[in-house]
Amino acid sequence: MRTRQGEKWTRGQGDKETGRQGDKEKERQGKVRFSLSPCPLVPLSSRLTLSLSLCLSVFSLFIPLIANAQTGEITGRVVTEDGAGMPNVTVFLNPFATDRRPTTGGSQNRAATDEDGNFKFTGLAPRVYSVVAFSTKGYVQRPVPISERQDGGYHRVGANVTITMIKGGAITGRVTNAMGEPLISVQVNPMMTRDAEGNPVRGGGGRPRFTDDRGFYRIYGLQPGTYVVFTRNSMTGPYPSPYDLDTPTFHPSSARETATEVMVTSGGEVSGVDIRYRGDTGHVVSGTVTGGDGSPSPYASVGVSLTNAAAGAFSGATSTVRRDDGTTGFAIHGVPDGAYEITARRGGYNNEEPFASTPRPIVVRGADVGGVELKLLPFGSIAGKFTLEAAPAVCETKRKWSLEEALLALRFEVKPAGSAPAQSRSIVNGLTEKGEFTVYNLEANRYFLEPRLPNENWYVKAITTAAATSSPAGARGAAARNSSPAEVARSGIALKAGEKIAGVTVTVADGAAAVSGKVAPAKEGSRLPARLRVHLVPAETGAASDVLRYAEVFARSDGSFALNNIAPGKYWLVARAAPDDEPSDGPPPPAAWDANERAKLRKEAEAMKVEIELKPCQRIMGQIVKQY
Amino acid sequence: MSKLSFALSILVLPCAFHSVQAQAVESKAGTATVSGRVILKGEPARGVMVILQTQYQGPFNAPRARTDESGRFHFTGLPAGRYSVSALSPGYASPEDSNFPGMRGKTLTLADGERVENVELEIKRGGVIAGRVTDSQGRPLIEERLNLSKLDANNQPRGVFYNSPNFDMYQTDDRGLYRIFGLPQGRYLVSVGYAESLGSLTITSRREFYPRVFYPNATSESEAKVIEVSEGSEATNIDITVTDPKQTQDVYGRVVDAGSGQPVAGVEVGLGGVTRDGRYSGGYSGSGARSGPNGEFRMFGVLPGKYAIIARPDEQSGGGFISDPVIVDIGEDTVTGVEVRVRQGASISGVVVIEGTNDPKIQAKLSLVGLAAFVRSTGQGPSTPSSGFARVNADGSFRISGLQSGKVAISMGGSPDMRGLAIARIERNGAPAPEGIEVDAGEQVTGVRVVLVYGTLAIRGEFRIVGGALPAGYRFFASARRVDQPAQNQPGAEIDARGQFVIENLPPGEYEIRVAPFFNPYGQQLSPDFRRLISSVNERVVLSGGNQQSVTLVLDLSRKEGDR
Repeated sequence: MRTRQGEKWTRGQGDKETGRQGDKEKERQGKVRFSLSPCPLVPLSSRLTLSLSLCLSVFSLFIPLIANAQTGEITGRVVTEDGAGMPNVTVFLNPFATDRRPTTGGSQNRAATDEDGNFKFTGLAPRVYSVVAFSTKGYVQRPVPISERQDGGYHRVGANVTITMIKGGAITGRVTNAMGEPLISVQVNPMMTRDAEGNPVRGGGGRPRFTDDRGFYRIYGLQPGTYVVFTRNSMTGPYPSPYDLDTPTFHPSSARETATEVMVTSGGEVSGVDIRYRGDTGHVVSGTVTGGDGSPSPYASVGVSLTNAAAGAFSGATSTVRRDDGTTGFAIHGVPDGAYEITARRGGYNNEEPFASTPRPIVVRGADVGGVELKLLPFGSIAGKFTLEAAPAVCETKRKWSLEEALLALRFEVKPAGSAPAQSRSIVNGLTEKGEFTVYNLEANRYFLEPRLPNENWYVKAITTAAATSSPAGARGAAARNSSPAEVARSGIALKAGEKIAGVTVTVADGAAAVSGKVAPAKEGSRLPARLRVHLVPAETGAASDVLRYAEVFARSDGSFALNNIAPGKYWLVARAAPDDEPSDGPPPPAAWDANERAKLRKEAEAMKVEIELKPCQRIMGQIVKQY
Repeated sequence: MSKLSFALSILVLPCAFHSVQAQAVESKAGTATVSGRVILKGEPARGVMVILQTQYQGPFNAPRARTDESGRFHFTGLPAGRYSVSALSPGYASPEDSNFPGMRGKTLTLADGERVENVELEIKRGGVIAGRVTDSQGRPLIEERLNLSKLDANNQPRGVFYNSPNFDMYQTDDRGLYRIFGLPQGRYLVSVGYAESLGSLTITSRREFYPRVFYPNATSESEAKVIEVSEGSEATNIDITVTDPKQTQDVYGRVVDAGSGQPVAGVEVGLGGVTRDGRYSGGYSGSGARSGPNGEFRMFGVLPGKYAIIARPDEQSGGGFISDPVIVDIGEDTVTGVEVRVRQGASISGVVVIEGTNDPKIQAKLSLVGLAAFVRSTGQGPSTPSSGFARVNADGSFRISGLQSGKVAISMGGSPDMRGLAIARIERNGAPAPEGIEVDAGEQVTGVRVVLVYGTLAIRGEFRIVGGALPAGYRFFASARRVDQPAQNQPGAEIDARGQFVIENLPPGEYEIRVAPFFNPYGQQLSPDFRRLISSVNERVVLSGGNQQSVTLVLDLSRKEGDR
């Protein structure tokens, strides 16, 4: 399932860990009890760690028995666009977990809606969850507009969630060869190029289908948007086909650059999307995958993928074979000419420690490319905790919130191959009941921390690392010293391949303010641009480089906006249009992160002269913001 | 153009701008060649892609060739080995493929430099079954799975093997329509929905399900209408109307420790089969349910029926335990209050060694070895799934946990990287344990030594029939058993289309070679005479260093009385 944070497969969700790591965590928490012989009752001293871990592996089923665990509910309704409830839809509930703690009382991760479309999950531990309706009978979840995307999708105990389903669209057509003969059982793929709002997206789509014995295919249950449709081989499984060596053919009969786009509406059907199959033999990219930690289990799967973000995310995957010398050979067939990035991955399932190679550019031009060596590197991790500072002012609140209900997003830059602009993506992780987090499966990169707070009264005061001497020379981005709190927030944490960083502290304080209002167009009476960002910029000179004091949010289609979790102080507000070609699933990093962008933003914000002063717990409404 | 040429031209896959010629395809160093033709309706078929796959690499980089104007294909430069050659022709079925899952095309055992010619691959245009599924109000059923069964030689319905990744073809689309194509000749039944039968462990993600209905409106197999499929046939309007839906149910319960009664969190629970007299019969189907902080669990979407509720140890729950199955009868209500007791299982730990070689490359294979343990219960019947598995560590140590009490047989897990390694003997505290290792309930057995040997020798052979013909549609398997070993995990090889086979990666020793048929669900029953004769075929061969031995096995069918 695609998430709005980008390919789940490329960036781990951070909720997997190696067995060894997990056991050590439990040791530290001191929560394991041994109550069966023959494992002797021993104190938790490091001398006896070895026998301890043996005992742990047997008896760790006695993981935290939270006596009288506090539990709550999440309720909701699944409806169609006219508001009618949809019965018998399966809804999935998944926690943003950091470890293997059981999160639900009764582990109810599925529920079905009743005749009125209502559903309920009970016995839930105070965590953060995602609630997703299973696409069913041609209906899909209505896409969330870009202005609501940053907060949506996270639900805490006590929430009531409404999920709107819309009828998907359909695309049908026929695949034939130059002589008009049907192509049987060829895989046809839909790839979204623009979403329903017309924003460009990279690499979205629906699931592929096969042609039948007359060459016809039918793809239904598609999100509304604009698509290209193409044939593709899929040589990852044990089923070879006669099309495996061919390059993709895009509707009507072309390569990606000259493909005809198809617009799909909710409940609409576009027929006659025929493909005249070209069947040009593509090239082969082949080589070896080496590295990884020690001797790999024979059961860990190795995958190599080729992606082409520049021309619209063509990707090829490969079958691999283990050789006698322990290396893995790979060969990707049917590759058309172009510039790609190739990455190998291993493990990450069934508690296999994951490894990946650094994405490498590859150019295919008229010939096979062989001898590509990909070296698997371990993933790194970032660990730390949130702390809640006792603040002089505490806002009124109806219920007691725990740190466990916060989330941490790690945001990082992705530089696609070719000339496409950089994008940022996020990994979102939950916290333990002590407010601790460990995000696993991180590749070498520079990570910015974006805490997501569960209520309006908190704001992030500071982010620090324990190690003042970490010398980050990450794979991407300039080197920076993480020696001061402001540095971590501003330049993020640079992680080397396989590096495990701990001791990050996010200090949260009570007393946050909020401001909401509307954007006024630059000229009286003119229309607002389609995508508008509202920026909050600290007006005090002392805070000019404090990244934590900056915020940006998308305005809704009517120009309204809301900014929460703001530290008290003086601010400017300004609205700026987002560039037309900015993909909605891959926005660039926030302006505040880059010194030059920040300076530019400050100039524009100051020029608009919309200044506010926020006191602790204050809520300003109806604020007018001008567009630059 | 004649009708036949038209049928042929459908097979011309996209090579329109190049003259269609057989491409000789070379693979790694080797000197064997394979050539033959692809036939459709007795005539050569051109432009068909043929693939030559090996047992260990499968389709990965497998050589491919297209048939020429005379339907001929040609592969050269092949190393010796075991191959299967098949035509890749979606929508067409090959008589060889239809009966055996995962075994496609013709098997060929090639020797170095051997020239195999006249391999004939026949393809036939598959049949089509298409129609619509609606409910009792005439509304289309969307994404409803169709079940296909094929009648065997005795008109008993049996499941159908799927030979392509196109599973969607067995499901209705958003209009309630389906179209299944490429079917081999035969007599079929089509149905929709779930049958509540003993032994079927079904959990769905849905709240509603339809009781099984066969085409056109039959609730039982005997009333179902048979659909005749022949070469190129098309049966349309195979419409099915379902009855009213029923509800799946939920099962609520708790996992507790059998000794202390304390709840246990993080344990996965699922369904197991039940015998007629109400005992757990084995098998396991996961339900996605895992016990929560208070030990509670809820299974969602279980079909009515009789089941055993069992807990399954896995990495996440810490493993090493067994559970007492709880028998439940699910009807039209939620089931609550199921208490699943878990207790510490028995375990076997020790060390694996490779004898007879100091080669570090071979010794390094230790960490590729997986050990599987199967328990024959000596108690009142199986509790949890009675098997365990463990990977061997780099130093050769291992521990298999989560076993019930009984007699444990240890074998090697099947990773192709381990070929060449075989279990020579198993010792417990220095004494050989050929019958297996006895474990008591919860006993932690140590001091087990699994001794492996590494083999590089091979037995090459031929299986010949005299005085009769082999029954049609059957394939045979040759197995090699070391005479000093109990019959366990015998290595073997499929006997190819020419009656030849090679069994590789054997350590030195004396072996007994036997032949057995692969199970063919659709074929004619083999007569008891035939079975008796074939089980009496055996030869002995001694393997010692440096060479491979040949053996010939002869089945003399003229020996049986009153043959058919």
